[in-house]
Amino acid sequence: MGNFGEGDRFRAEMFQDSNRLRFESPVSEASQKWWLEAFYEPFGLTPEGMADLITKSAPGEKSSAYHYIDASREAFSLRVDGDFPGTREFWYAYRELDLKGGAFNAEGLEISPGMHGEGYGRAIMGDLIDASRLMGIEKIRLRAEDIGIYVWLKMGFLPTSEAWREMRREAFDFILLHRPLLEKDRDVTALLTQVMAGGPNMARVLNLIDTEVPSKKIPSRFTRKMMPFGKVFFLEAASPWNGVLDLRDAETVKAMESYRARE
Amino acid sequence: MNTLRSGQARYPGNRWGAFADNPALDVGIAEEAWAALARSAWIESGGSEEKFNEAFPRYAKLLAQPTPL
Repeated sequence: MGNFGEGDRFRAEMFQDSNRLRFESPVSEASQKWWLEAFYEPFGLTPEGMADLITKSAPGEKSSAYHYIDASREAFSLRVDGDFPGTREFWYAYRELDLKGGAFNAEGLEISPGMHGEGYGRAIMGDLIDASRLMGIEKIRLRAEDIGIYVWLKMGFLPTSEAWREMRREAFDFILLHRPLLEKDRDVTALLTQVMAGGPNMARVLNLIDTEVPSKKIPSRFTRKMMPFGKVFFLEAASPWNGVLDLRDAETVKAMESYRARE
Repeated sequence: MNTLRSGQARYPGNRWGAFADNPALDVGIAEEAWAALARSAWIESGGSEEKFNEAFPRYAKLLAQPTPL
């Protein structure tokens, strides 16, 4: 019979509920073993430590709830909640790891309205990127909605091939709609040819188009406000998209590092 | 729950947020690195650098500047 020591007790206790941590379903022995081998032994990460790591930039006290830890799927899902000290503002992040698929799913992130525009959303996504790189996770997936349709593209995410097919159709129509204005600055036929021939990273080319076109959504009493095509397309015309950040793409990672170092 | 972004309280139903008031406001990857990524995408899709430079003269100029050591 083996010795049951302090280390074993600690290992078992990390899967029990505490003030800051809750498990919505019991973690089986097999799943505990998987966690220890995949995260605790190589990286020293307990379930609570994982929650802290992937939301490192978020201030204040945090509480976490694991929806499941499942060894058979090599996956876990959790929600981390917190508040901004001294305010009534809050944030939460849903994250799911699919270790077999080598991907984190950034299922959701909410920052309460009073703290919008402070960069917390991007910082918390930066934490997930850092954690992924530490653990050798190759991809982060998300659903880009609302203002994120523009912002996540600028963070290095690209639409999936399927999402790109829809975005490409929308872009084609939007380029034709604004052709007279675009033609003053560039060869629209060449642009259309490349957009139709290209893959998801052509979304970056669409974003780069700086010809000013009228916005339909920004209220203006007399004339429509003129804004760069690259913003108007993503903030008004493009549908929500499923996207992925490929951490094996050295060029994208290098570009991301340069901006994160600056911010 | 209220999920308005900054700026959307004044402009309900749109995605612009803080971008609405400032066309130059941007986030994420910096302009020069972003232009380089876009140029790579253009070339990867079979386009020539020359055509990219014609389509995006301002960025072509930016990318042509020597990088400081």
